[in-house]
Amino acid sequence: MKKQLWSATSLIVLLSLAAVGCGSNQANESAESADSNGASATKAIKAKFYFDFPGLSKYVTDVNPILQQTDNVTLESVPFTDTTSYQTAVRVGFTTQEAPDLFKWWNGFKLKEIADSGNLADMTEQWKEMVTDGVVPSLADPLTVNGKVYGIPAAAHYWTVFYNKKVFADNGLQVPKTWDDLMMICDTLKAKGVTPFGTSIKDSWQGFIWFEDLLVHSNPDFYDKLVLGQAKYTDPEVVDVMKLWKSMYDKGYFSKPLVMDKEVAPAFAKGQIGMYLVGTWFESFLTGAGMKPDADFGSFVLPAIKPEAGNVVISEITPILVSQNAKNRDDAIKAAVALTKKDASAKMLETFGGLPTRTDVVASDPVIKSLSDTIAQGNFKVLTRYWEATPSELSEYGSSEFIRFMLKPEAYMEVLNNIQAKADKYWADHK
Amino acid sequence: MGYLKKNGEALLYVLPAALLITVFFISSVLYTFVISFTDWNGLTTAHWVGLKNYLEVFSDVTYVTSLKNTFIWVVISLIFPVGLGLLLSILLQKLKGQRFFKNIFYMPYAISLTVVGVVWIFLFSDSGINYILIQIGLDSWTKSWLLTPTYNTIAMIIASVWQGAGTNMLLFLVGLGSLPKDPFEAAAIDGASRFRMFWSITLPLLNPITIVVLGLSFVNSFKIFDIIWVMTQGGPYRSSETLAVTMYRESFMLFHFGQGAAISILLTILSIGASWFYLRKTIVGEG
Amino acid sequence: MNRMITGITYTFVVVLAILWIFPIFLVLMNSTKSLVDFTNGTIWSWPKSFHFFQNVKDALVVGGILKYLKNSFSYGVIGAFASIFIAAIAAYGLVFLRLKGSFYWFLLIYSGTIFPFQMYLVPLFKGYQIFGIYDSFVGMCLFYTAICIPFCVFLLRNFMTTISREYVEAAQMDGFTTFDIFLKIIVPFIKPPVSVLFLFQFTFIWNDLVFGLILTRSESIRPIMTGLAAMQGIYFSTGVTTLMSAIVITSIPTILLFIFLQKNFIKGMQVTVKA
Repeated sequence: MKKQLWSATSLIVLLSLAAVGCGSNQANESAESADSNGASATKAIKAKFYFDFPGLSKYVTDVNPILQQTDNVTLESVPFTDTTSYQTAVRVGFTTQEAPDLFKWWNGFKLKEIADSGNLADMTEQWKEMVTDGVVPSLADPLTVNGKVYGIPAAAHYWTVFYNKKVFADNGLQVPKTWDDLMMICDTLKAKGVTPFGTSIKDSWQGFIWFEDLLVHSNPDFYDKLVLGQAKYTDPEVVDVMKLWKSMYDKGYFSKPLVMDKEVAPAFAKGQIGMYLVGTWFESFLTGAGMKPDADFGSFVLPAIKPEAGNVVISEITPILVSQNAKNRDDAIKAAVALTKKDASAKMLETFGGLPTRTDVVASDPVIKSLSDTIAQGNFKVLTRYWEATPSELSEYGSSEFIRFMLKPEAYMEVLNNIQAKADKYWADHK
Repeated sequence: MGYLKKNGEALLYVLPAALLITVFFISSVLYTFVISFTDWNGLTTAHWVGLKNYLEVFSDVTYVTSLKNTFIWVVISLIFPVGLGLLLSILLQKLKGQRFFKNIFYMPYAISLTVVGVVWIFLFSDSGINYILIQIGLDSWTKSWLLTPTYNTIAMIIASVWQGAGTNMLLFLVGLGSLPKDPFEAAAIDGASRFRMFWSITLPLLNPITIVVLGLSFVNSFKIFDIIWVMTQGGPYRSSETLAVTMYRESFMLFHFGQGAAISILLTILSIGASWFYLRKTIVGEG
Repeated sequence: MNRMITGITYTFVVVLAILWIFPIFLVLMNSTKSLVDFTNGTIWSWPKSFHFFQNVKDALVVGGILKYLKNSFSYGVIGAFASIFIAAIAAYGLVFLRLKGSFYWFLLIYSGTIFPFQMYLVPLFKGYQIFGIYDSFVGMCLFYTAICIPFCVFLLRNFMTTISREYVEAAQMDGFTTFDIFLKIIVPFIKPPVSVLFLFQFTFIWNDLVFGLILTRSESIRPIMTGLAAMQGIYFSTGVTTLMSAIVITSIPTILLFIFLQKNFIKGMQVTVKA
């Protein structure tokens, strides 16, 4: 078994060496950015890539030939099937000799936590060359902790509302410009027997979706304070949001809970629900249900609820990080950089969907394309998702309490009191 | 030294098992015990926090739900899977085609919980039982079974009864097969009714096996985890959590390894305490 | 009267049996559908085409189930046999070899079943890495052997107490060595409970998911249930029907095992339970 693996590897190495030797002439090679092809001629790099997103297995298979070409890098998948065992293996792995070379993670507090513990390789240096090479410079921000940049951006997603174009057309509806427009759309759909919005509660994180969006479109600055413990869940700003959310339940704007990965897309495709607020990565579920982007569905950012909130959108950045204690950290960093190059990055976009992480890669998807154009032109304020913006203890607990609300909207004060009690305790312990 | 000399040979036979258990599990338990007094989160160095983790369990409301659910599971697991197992064994005892039915009732046990979870999630989804309810005109009975507190626990208990009743049935069948004949013949001569015979002869004679079955259900229901994790992960809003699920969530979702360790130590104490009676009966009693 | 009771009993048992088999039947039925067939219908509708072998092929190729099957089969056989052997000699030592404090030794071994298994995850993960057996075939076999031992010792010890000491003493007179006595006298006696144990332990190992996820990382080592769980995660790309057929394949070995070992199983349980 091992022997086979070895001979296979050496064959690959030989082949790629041959390819470099024959394929590229000297001039071409020196024209490339300093390290890439030069490194490939010298040393084969293997890196173990840990992830909990099943789609990445196929990505690794697809991207390896590209990586072998450009940087003589071969990724080895270490797939996990559930997030809990995945996080355990990664976290506990840091302190052993089995620290993962590369691993998929989250941004925000989840990133900060492991960066603060000193388990991440600093990639600030590499970012300079990555930006020169074409990586979107602003993506460094979400990956920066205390002035150091960690890892590479694998995917970038916005949180927006998908809407069924046929349902909208049949009822003479337009994409809403204002909150009142949206309420009007909901009333119209409701009158026609279409449930305006689908909702999901199976996994606890699904609880934060509406809370977060209603809050940032009412009062984005307050949201920033709330997630950092500088404001309270029992403050009038939050209470107002909960009342608004409850009124939407009272008016029947939300569907009964639908399982996100199984039931939502079919219900959406059949026009039983008109809209669904979710990350842009959900698009693959819609196309999976047989819908065509742009022709069958589109997407818009939730309009401001209070005019002073301005244009705001929630974003979610998925980084791939390198462990400080990885056996071959330098190689792992090189492998990570290799992943940001044009062809590899384009493949990643195919896998993850969402926005391109390079300036020279274009979103082929028309829905995403028009969303990102709107966001770029509208001078949107981009905020981090609740799940990552606030410490895990609170995002976890808060989300599951919001689900209590979703099942029993009249309990909103109880929910807020519960979360605030947890928050008081957390922030007192983490001064 | 004297002990070694006298028992050397016997020890040679017992040690492999004892060593493996010690190295793999006893040491893990000791490790957990130590961790339970710290705030270890898997990333930073652990600090000693004394009894804080234990006190937390009694002060936090979420743990109360978890305790309550554990209690529900324990009680219901003692009634339904055991009762149904007993009923089936009695019905099948003298039935033609016993073997065929036995296979059917046992089959779910051979299937993994992961699979059982997948199957029952489907059944409790809208395309499952709800679809049938709508077809037969009982629209108002439809529910989001796994998302509605109390119904979700019931749904999961149904799944676990489906999986577990067969084993109990087998154990009872074996017990019934080895009962002496004389008391029944004597009772028949006296003209006792079937029910009377069952109540005053079968049940008492079946006692030893009933204790084994009850004991196994008891210990296992305290630890109930897999089926909940697969079907609801303890949600929504932690409403279907049991202690084992809470422990798992604290440890592996929030990385409060210390807190999780404290819960598992408490869970262990609870289950040992509660099963002491059973252990004494089955092990100490004959040992 | 008696006939009526039999009639009622049959009706009741048959109805229950149908209920019991129904979920399994649903899985089987849906595993034979093509994906199109499945998406257009419901899980209740009768298949329009017979697509089972295609689905199985997809599960084996796309899901890569085959190597996981091989892994788990090895773990199941090795783990079950090793644990039964180690438990059998331990039980022999506890029961026949006049070990002082044998009851406490027994409690030590049996304690392995009392703790919630999730408690072992982190310590074992760390320990495995320290000793370099993380993600190794040996490591997995060792773990599965260890975790199966307590129950095996429990059952075998119970069973051995029913074997008359006279056999052992007679053999000792005849000058048999201690190990010979185990092999020639005890082993023939314990065959029935051994098949019960094999069934239980193989099934347990085959169905393990959590430890397989935590203690391994590469495809060549991971057990079957991790593979199945992975398929569940990507089922929207491989299709529900493929998942269903994978469920069928992965459940066959343990079901077959039960049907074949059933006769021994009942016999074994009878003697064991009597003790």
